[in-house]
Amino acid sequence: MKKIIITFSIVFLFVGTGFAQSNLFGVGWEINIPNNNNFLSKTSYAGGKLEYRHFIKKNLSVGVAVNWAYYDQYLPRQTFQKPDGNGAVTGDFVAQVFQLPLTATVHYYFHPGKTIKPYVGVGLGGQYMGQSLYYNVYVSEDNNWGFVARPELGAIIKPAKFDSWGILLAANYSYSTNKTALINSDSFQNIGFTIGVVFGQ
Amino acid sequence: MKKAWLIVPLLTATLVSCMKSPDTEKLSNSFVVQTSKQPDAEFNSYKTYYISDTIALKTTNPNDTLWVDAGAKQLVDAVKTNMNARGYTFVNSNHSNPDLGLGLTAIKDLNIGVIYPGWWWGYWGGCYWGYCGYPPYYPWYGGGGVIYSVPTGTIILDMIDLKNATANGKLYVPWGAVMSGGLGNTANDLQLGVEAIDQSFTQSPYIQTQ
Repeated sequence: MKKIIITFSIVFLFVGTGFAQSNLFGVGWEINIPNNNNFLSKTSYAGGKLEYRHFIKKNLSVGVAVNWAYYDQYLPRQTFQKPDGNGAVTGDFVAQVFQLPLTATVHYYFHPGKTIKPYVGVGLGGQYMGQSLYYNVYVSEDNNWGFVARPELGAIIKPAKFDSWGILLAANYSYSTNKTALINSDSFQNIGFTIGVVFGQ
Repeated sequence: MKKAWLIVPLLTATLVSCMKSPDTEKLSNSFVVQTSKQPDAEFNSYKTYYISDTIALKTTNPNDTLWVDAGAKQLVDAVKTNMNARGYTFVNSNHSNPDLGLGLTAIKDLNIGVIYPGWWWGYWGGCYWGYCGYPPYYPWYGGGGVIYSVPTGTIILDMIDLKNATANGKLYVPWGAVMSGGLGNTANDLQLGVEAIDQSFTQSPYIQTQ
């Protein structure tokens, strides 16, 4: 895991030193709210984002992004019934989820060249998830890849028009097809908020 | 300005290293109780049952195959109490043609991974319930049952259809419970085991003669 992120960072680093004029690099802190049936509900404050955007027009960019989030929640003793009524499980659990989406992105900007640039965008790609359920003295794990779609709304705010850095504020909705047999779930959804900085155009 | 990029790998490494094992302090040592039933099982078609006073024991020691002490009896009695409360009648011998056979298996010092369709924890060859060559059959496998792994310290309770065994040519298991806990690891494990058996029936209200 660590290696993947470091590799991405190095790629960003090299690409970044060249053409700052039509490129933008972002790094941010992410807060994620799981929106995943009745399983996880606790907000995660342990998340982040690295991204690169290349402007193909003044108001349009394409890029890549890597995000990560870590969820951790205690679920008091309760009975989960299978939806078809043919099974049930009772226990108290600690659920732990690690989420790592790697996406190709496209963003459209409404006021290119202004100090505040609102944008809409979408990221599509693959998402690695590690889902673990701790109970009694055991742990059951389910690690896999799924497809992920992340529509995003945000704004880049620069202190002055030609500054090479700015503040990044964004909100996204994430839907992925990561399955977990642990809770008989075939998708994972969350809402995320990003506060970060950008360098470049 | 260019040095500012150093922040990226630095921040990344910091964030990733913040990840930790979750806090499992809050976890109780009560058993996790999983139950599954055959979707079309008709529990009111059975009236009588038999359960042995001994528990099949699966450990790393090949000679250690039966658990016969007062502790075993306590768990068996918990099954009887629940079955009787649901209207079933205990018969004294498995030669008295009971409709259902109940079997308890305890897994100690041994981890059995994911259970595959057609594979069974209690049937390691030979005859079972007097039926030779009839492998126990779990109709709920492949249908997304809730049982995925059987760690050490687990108690398994199987309900076997003996009434229709000859007709089916198989030992159908219309209902089963897998209870994972600290069997053999905690001082009050037997009490927790009894509570787990009670819970397996509580979450399976369809087990009724009526």
